[in-house]
Amino acid sequence: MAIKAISLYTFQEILRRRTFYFLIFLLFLLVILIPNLPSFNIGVKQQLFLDFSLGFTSLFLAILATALSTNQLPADIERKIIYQILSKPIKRSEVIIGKYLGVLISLFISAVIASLAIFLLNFVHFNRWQPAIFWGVTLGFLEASVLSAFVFLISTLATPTITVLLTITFYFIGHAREQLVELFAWFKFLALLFPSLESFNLSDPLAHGVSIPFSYYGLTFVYGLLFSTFYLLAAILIFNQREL
Amino acid sequence: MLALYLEELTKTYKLGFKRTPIKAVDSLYLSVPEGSTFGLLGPNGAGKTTTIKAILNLIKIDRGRIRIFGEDHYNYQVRGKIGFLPEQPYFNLSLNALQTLNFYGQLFRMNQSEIRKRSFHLLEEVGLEETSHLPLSKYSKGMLQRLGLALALLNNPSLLILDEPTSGLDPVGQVEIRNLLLKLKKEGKTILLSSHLLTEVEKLCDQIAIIHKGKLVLSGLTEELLREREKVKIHFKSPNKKLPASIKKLAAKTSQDGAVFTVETPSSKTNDLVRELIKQRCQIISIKPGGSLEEIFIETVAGYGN
Repeated sequence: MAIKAISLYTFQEILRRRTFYFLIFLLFLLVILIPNLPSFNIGVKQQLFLDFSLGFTSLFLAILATALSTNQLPADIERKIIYQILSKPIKRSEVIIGKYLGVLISLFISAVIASLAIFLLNFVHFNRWQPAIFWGVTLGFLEASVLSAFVFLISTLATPTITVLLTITFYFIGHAREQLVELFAWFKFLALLFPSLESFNLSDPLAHGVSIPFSYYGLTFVYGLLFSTFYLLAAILIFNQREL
Repeated sequence: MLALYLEELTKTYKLGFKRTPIKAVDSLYLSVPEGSTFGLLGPNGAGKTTTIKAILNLIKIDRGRIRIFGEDHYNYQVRGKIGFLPEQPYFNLSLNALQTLNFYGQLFRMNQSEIRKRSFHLLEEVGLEETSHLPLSKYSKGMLQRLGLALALLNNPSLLILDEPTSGLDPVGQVEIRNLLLKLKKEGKTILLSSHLLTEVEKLCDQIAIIHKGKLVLSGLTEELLREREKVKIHFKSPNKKLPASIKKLAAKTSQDGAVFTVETPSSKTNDLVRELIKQRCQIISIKPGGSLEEIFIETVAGYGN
């Protein structure tokens, strides 16, 4: 019950933020504008549309995850609202999980809006019925969930500015993980702490109509879930020891 | 049964780049009996807020034990029996009072009808029933303080921990809150009150503890402490402008301000002193009772150095 109350409270808090609507509006605008990009022929145009819109959605969800998660704990600590919350019969872990779920609800709603917009525009402009778009956006949502868990972990230790900087670094390392492993032998062990964020990126194969086996989605889901759980557990461990 | 028991509570903060250890609370022992109103006093930085934070498990203690109604304070469920009002209650200002109480009620695992019933009753008690739908951003500091008190009472707690409950309130508001606390005291609630307003503590608390530099320097029943230190201050003028030796002998403390002398004596010796003053043809200007909690506090703290 406490987790549910905190997640709904967090979600309602997010709904009051103008940034949330601005980012959704921006994504919506971009997705609508993409079909009007100059192109050589209709096939390329449709591929470009899917590639760009899925790529933008994924990036947008990552930005949104960072923006919404960064200040969740620090703001409550700074405004001392955390005293009111933690003086109630709840565990610190419930605060982290509740807040994380509140962010996930917001990300999920954004992902649903984005996938519906892409799906409908794809149908209206190119007369193509591609339910795989939903899978593409779902993986983007999973990537954002992992990123959000990482942000929660860092925000238990660092200031919001450092959290954002480290998250950007994490995002780039996550996307270049395979290349970094190949380039630097020492990175092999460190890489265990970073998920391969490229695994969540299916915009290119989906745009080119490559069929993706269901097992891939299942495995990627488990992969994302494991990393999110790992980061959240570490965040809980640190937050449990933190002086307020 | 003890509502609260602190045994050898010690908390050190490490400050600055060199991580210099500063003892905020040093081997503190406190026993708060169930049903009592207990005043926790001390100058700024004495360790009152650190003690409260330790009770609520907001900070990790170095050493010692805290028992709340016999249960270890690490058990999060024991906080269901506590109502807490921080020095300055902070809220999400975009919510209104009812939404705020609803959220915190859920954290207490209360059901919706129970939350609504309690919320309306408490908002009426603290005088916020007419503004319950206004966003808290429109509230004054005093109104937020009242809401903080309503929140502290939401779960009908057995132990109330109040850190400066009348802070930010106007005199009328202070009296209203004091009356509410007296009512709660009559209901048998255990109240741990940390306050700088010593007259308020004197009126409300049946036990007090003074802490200074993290250490317990005085504790006991308020009535007994006041009785032990009961004294009288007499201001008078001497005919020869000198303090008669017989008066000096009877007085516990003497001072002079121009032609006016002041003597302090335990109240048991008041009659003897007055008789002697008359005998010595002194002109008595005033006789004032002393030994207030404020004096006890100042004397105790001064005695341990600042």
